[in-house]
Amino acid sequence: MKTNLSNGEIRIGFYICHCGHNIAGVVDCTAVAHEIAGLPGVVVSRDYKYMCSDPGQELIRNDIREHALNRIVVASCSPLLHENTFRNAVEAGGLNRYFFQMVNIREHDSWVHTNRAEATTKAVALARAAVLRVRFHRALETTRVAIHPDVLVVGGGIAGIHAALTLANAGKKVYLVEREPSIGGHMAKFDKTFPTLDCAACILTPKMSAVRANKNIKLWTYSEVAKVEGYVGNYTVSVRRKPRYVNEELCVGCQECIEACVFKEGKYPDEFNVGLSKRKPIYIPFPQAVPQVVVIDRERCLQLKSGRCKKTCIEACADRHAIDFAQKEETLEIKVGNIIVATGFRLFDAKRIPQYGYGLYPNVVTSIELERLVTSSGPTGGEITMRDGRIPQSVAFILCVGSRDFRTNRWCSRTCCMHSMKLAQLVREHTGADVTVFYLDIRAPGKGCEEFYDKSLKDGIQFVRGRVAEVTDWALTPEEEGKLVIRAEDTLAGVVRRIPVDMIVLAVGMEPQADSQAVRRLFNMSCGSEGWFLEKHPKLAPVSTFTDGVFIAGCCQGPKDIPDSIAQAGAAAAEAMALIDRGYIEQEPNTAYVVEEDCSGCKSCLPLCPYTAITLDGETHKARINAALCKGCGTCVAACPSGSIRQHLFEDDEIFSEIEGVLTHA
Amino acid sequence: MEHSPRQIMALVRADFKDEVLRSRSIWLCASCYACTVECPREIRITDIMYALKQRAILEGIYPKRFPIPILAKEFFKMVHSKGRITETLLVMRLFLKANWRAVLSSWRQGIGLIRTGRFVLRHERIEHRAQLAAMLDSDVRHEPGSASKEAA
Amino acid sequence: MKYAYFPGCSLKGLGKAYEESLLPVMERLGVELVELDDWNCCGATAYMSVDESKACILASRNLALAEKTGSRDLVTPCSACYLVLNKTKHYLKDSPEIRESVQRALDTAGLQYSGAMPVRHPLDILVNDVGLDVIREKVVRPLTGLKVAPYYGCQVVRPYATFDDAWNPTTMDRLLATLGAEVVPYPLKTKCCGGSLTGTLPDTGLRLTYILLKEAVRRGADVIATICPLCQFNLDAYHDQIARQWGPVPIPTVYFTQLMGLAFGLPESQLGLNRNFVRMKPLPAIPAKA
Repeated sequence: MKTNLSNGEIRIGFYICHCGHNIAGVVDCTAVAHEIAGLPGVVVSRDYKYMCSDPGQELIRNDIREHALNRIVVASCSPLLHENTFRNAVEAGGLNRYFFQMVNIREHDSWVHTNRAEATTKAVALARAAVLRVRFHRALETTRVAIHPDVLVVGGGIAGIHAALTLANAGKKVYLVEREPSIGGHMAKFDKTFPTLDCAACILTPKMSAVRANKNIKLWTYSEVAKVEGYVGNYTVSVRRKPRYVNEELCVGCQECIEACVFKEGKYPDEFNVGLSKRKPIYIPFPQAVPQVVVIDRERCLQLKSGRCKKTCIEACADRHAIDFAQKEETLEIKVGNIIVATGFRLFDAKRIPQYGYGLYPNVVTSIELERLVTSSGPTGGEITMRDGRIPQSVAFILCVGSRDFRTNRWCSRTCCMHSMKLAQLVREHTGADVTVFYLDIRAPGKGCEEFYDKSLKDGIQFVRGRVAEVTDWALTPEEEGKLVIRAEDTLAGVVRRIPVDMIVLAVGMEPQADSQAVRRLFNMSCGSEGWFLEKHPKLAPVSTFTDGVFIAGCCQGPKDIPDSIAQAGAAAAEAMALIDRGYIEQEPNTAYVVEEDCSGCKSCLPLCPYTAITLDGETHKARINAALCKGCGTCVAACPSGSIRQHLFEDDEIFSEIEGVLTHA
Repeated sequence: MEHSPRQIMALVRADFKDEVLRSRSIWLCASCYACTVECPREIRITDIMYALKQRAILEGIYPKRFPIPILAKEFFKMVHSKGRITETLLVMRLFLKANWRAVLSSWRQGIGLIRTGRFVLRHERIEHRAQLAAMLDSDVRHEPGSASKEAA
Repeated sequence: MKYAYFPGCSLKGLGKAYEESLLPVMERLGVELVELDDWNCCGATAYMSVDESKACILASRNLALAEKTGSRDLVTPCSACYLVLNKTKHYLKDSPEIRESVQRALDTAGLQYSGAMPVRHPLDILVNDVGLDVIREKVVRPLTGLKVAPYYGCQVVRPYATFDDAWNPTTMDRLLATLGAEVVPYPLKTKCCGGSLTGTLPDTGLRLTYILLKEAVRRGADVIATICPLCQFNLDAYHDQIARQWGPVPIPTVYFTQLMGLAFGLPESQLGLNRNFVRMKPLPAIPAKA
């Protein structure tokens, strides 16, 4: 680190940029340079057309050498744009890069004022402030934080699976933690996917098997993240593994125990079949579950609840002894450098819109329920039947249920138009029923999606543009008896219609998970006003969060379809990989620090830090700030009653001299 | 209904003022408020219908001899002069002004009302009629619908 | 319990039976309704069609008179009055222009209104203030076997659903069940009866009335219970016209207060039941206890 102090004398170089006409059009740059030249310590004062250009930077480098400068001030545009550029130039000239101060006389002056004289006076004041300030700048270094190479992926849906596989195939060690007993997420419940009508299981299960087979992935299902501590590159995570009462190492998934269970039939709503069928207390979520391991529901199992059961399951597993009623919950601690959160979504509860009759009329179902009816491995073997077993002759789809509605959820759930058209085509194919889709707009933006809409029309599916007012069973005419009547305005035809149908499917929208608030706090993430996890920048950084080292992917960031979820998962994996492969991150030194002699251990600062960077040292009883976590927000600095917390680059002498510079008249 | 509420909105946005104010549809609104409660964008449709009615009456644009605006105006007059409405008398005035044939077709109903003691021939009045009239006359504003616009 | 009481024009005219049955029922429950002195018409739906600020002035006079009584709440049985008075309160709160006009008008009359007094419906008072337990005690002749379709109509639940759900209100259902009646599930309980359109545009208005009557019959109800005088009139007084145009739907419509009166053992003559066009059949005999 060279400082060129020359006997402690401060020698300042001041540069004011014309920025073409952007600044010079309003501010008299030459006059400013002239004014500043008269300030004590200013050795060089120039105005130049484009300071950020190569010659401009060259000017700085040369002047440092020729005039033994040890402080540089540039008055030009926003630091967000070029602070780094000039700091690099200063460093290339042989000085510590933090012996530099930038003044914004474009966004803060020439772009917001029109009076030349006043704008010039303002530029002088701002420049003077910087010149006075920069005298107090100290030499600072960026710190490097090492990155632990392992990664935690939270959520075993398609996004989590893809992120985990991408990282594992690159040689990274991945922990994949999933709350349900099996990975697969919502996609495992689908029959076919739009717009290609690919079988969802056929494209998902190979990926699920690949997860199982990959030596670099530690798959922990039926587990949840309990606690996250640390900072980017150095996270310590506690994972709580819930007991399945079955030893994962020993169970081979033969399911003889399920067969043998004292419950002869299923009694409890099957979660995978969204309540359309029943399961026993001992079960496997679905035939292609990964891991292929049985689960025992501790709330429903007789043995676990009362201690009195014949335990025929244990008998059935006589040779492998995989069932273990003594299994306990265990908490494991892992160390990772990066975390990818891919916790997905939940569906809107259709009961919140009583006008559509869900829960009141048995033949009103949701899209996911129909999905299970359509699937050949579903509760009806792929037969689309109504609750009484009859095959419907007319089916209606109602779109935007719980979406685009100020009274429930304002957003568009993005996938339901395509999802509904897919189901509509499948219903038509399976049953030949008359299918009508009631929509407000058809949103089909993806590849092949508009063509899918064309195919739906060609298949003879009727589309009625109009928001359904209600689903009712009051019949006006004999044809309506025994049917559900949909009342809607057909806005294209310009008439209000009553359309009797047998079965109604509600295209329910996507919502954040029920515990999304608790989850985001666990990972120190923000969320938007609707509850979706917040990305760092909606366009430029869609998978990063405001917490370094924590990434998001898939629907937990907002509604999206499978291709977009996978794209985001790959992006998040790449972001994590970039950090891991570089091996370290550089931290800006504008961090707060504690002057221990002055700290009284009052702990006022601890709860104030939004980044949980401050702890109390157990031995010294003084506050300690973790520079790796500190973002330099300044809250603790301002709050400390004894003034023992200071901030690099924002020391008192630096700030007060700036104030003095602005307020004093020449 | 000639125009659905949605069409009225679109016509208003497109500035088809004449078509909207001449439409019978705005008068068909019975103030049941179902639309307002159902609207996913929380638009106060009923109040907009009121504003359009007020505008139509203010500018005198409504179908001649159309009973509903006539009823509204008669209602207005009776309140101003008596302070209360006597329904049977109001309806009789309506039939006279809009559709006297209706008197003939509803005579049976009239008999029924007399029989059940619901037919009132004497005007219901308030004591402080002048006070009420002064209160109403103190109002000078005539811009239809601005309250509902602000309240929206 | 004492409340200020705003009957509205209709309860002195076509809707006489409502007041006739409401007051004795309330008295039996120890509730005193004190009629506002020299109240004026609230404006209903028609007045607002002509002039918005005058409509608010009209309603505000009543609110000011009510506040002067010092009563804690103003009770109004007619749905239109209920809606208009509550709507005026909201407008006064939200619109400075309306506040100004109304204030000027009130000043000419030396009246004032703070905007605080709640305007409530008798159903609200009965079920929430008096309580179903107290009502059950007063039932001497349970309405066992009487199938009632509870019809609320529009303006008591929309747009200000203060004491019940706007889509599926149940206050009256619970009240009727307390009286011993069998409440028939009635999906049209908040659909519009046609309002004043039955008189001005019968083809449109009466069709709505017809739909309500038809569905009540289809659901097997013996009687429709209603809470609004205009609804009662529409459902009661047009059976001939409806039968001519669409078909007969012979079901009587009474006020819920009339059913309460019957359950309390009050004499029929006191309840205004003779004022109905379509008379209610005698109550079913109570089955002898086994």
